[in-house]
Amino acid sequence: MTIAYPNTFDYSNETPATEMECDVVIVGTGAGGGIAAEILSRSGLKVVMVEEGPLKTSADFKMQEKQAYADLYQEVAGRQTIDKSIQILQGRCVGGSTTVNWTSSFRTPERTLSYWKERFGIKGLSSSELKPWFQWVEQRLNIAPWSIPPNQNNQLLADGLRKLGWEYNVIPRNVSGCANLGYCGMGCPINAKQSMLVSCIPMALSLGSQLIARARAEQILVEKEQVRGVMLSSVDNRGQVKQKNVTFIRARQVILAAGAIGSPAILLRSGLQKANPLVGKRTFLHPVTATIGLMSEKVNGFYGAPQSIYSDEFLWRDGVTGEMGYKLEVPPLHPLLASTLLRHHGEKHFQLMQNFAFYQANLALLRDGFNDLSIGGEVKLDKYDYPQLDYSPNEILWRGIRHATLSMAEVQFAAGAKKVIPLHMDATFYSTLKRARDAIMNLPAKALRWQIMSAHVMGGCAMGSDASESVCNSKGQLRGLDNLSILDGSIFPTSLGVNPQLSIYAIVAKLVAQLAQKLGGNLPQDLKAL
Amino acid sequence: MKRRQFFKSLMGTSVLMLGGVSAFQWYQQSSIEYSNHVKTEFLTADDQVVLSVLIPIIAGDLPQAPNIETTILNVDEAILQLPLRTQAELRELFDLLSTGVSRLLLAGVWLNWQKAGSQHVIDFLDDWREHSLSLLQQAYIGLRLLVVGSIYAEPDHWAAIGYPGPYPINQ
Repeated sequence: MTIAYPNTFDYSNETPATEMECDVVIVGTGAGGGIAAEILSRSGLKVVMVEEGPLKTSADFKMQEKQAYADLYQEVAGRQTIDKSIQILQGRCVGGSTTVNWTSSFRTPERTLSYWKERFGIKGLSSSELKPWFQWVEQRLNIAPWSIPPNQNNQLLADGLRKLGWEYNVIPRNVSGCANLGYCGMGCPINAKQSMLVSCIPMALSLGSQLIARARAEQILVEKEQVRGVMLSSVDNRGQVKQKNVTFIRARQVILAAGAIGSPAILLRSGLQKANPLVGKRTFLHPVTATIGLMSEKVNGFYGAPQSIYSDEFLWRDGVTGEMGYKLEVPPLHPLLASTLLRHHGEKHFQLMQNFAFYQANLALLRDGFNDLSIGGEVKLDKYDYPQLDYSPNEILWRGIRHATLSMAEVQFAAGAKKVIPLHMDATFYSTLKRARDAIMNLPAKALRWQIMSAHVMGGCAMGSDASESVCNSKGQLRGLDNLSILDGSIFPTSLGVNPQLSIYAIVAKLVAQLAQKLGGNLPQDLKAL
Repeated sequence: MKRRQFFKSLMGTSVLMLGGVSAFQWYQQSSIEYSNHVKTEFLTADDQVVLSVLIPIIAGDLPQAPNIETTILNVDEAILQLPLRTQAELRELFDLLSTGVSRLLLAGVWLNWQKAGSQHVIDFLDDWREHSLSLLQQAYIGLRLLVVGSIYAEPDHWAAIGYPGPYPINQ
């Protein structure tokens, strides 16, 4: 089925208009921007969406890593923190990370929402208040627990957990007619994944909204304490700025939904941190650590739904605010990314790669930001005005990573692994659980050596009731500028403890529905009833 | 100390640590150079020489040796998509690898590697991988990532690791 994208411009090869006008300009087309565009345009408001990445569709998705990472990800899927200790996977295309994510769709844990209410005074976002919004999104994007048997990579996670008596469950996914291919991370070639690219964005465009791809929001223009609009630069097909400040989009309301690195960067380029000094601070990553188990039979971790089994056995292991808890899942395995994660060269590297099809990989995503010692990172601008994230792994994170690595190795041996290797530059394959335990206890807790990844960037524009602790209020409205909203994962005051897309969809849906009414829009019946 | 000076002094140390064979001896033998230059936008002809030495060694025992030109083109294209800050860092790294003493080091190793094995280059990579200075570890990680990713991006090397490629689908 072909999906139409009318009213779309591409600034890499088209001459930009010098000025445009609309009710609402939305910067970013990921989970936050996509949902916002649908709800605002269905409410009758005139919307312009701005996206730094290209518009690529199922016809472009060839299940090839080389092409997908260059076309669809920030920094060729190799975005790194300043000290290069953490590698960040983040989408940069129409649909944002929803175009390339692995489809896991969890409601925000009740404990996370309660903590936000108690600790940060966040209003209106309790589990019961969000429930109808979760239900609405789940229906809209066809979210349901995966009903097909898990692929072997996920099955082995379940096997290990069951043998150890640790809890596990099936992951809900936002798919419709999924063929179980395994290439969600390279863009769904059959439009089964219900990303923003195939759902909310085409819906908004069909209602007359406009989309400008390959355009970067340079800065927000403010006059007399009111936001007047956004200045755009054009971007070429390699993601580099072509011409600065080519288009001014005049709007009654500006929504930033450029993700937790992009949104703070726009505020910083606009000088808005002067009034809001916490802009870009407390950025969270769900730092991820992984182990690889060598199985006696082929796992073929490249095929089948990438994530279908998870365990929350350790998510709250020391309560909400104690030692960092973690969620256990698996990553899909494809040759390019796997080859880069196995940090060797020459003979040793090829020996590791030879068994690629026999590898089962586990990952743990750590819940950062709930403990006073877990302070996250900070988004800063470099001398080119481009954002970079300063996030230094500290002791509490290393303790969590070590604990998670021990658990993951135990699960792999329980599932029948012949040997297990943690992703640490000083680690080798360990052939018994005892050897693995002894070694893991002694692996140096050092940046670069212990490899850390992230696919979930959150925070940096935290919501809250206390002005000295937050950047925006519980509606996502920036302090001091009532026609500038931030509606993406950057408003989360901590990480979540679950893959973030459904949290972003539901929270943004609720907040943007209020905003649509404030702007005089007519909220459609299905949303008005919530 | 500035990043660049820092890199330079360390490269000097690496050359000294090799011992026995003087850089000048290598230099005198270095009449053979990688000549199949491909059209690149970021990488210079000198950078290509460095990569032509590093690619086969980083690849290890892959049954089908990586195509040097394809790998270089993949590296070049990947770098062109990176932020200008990262490109500037990589420019420094490649300049150091491809000029002065480091050029002699690598060119010399390249000349002799067929006969004497690739051990010198392997030692050099091992040294950076294990170095106590995080800047050199970062250089190793970044350089290796670009090269290894550019190799395994190509279907030529998938059979050797048991990857059949994506399912054929009818749209």
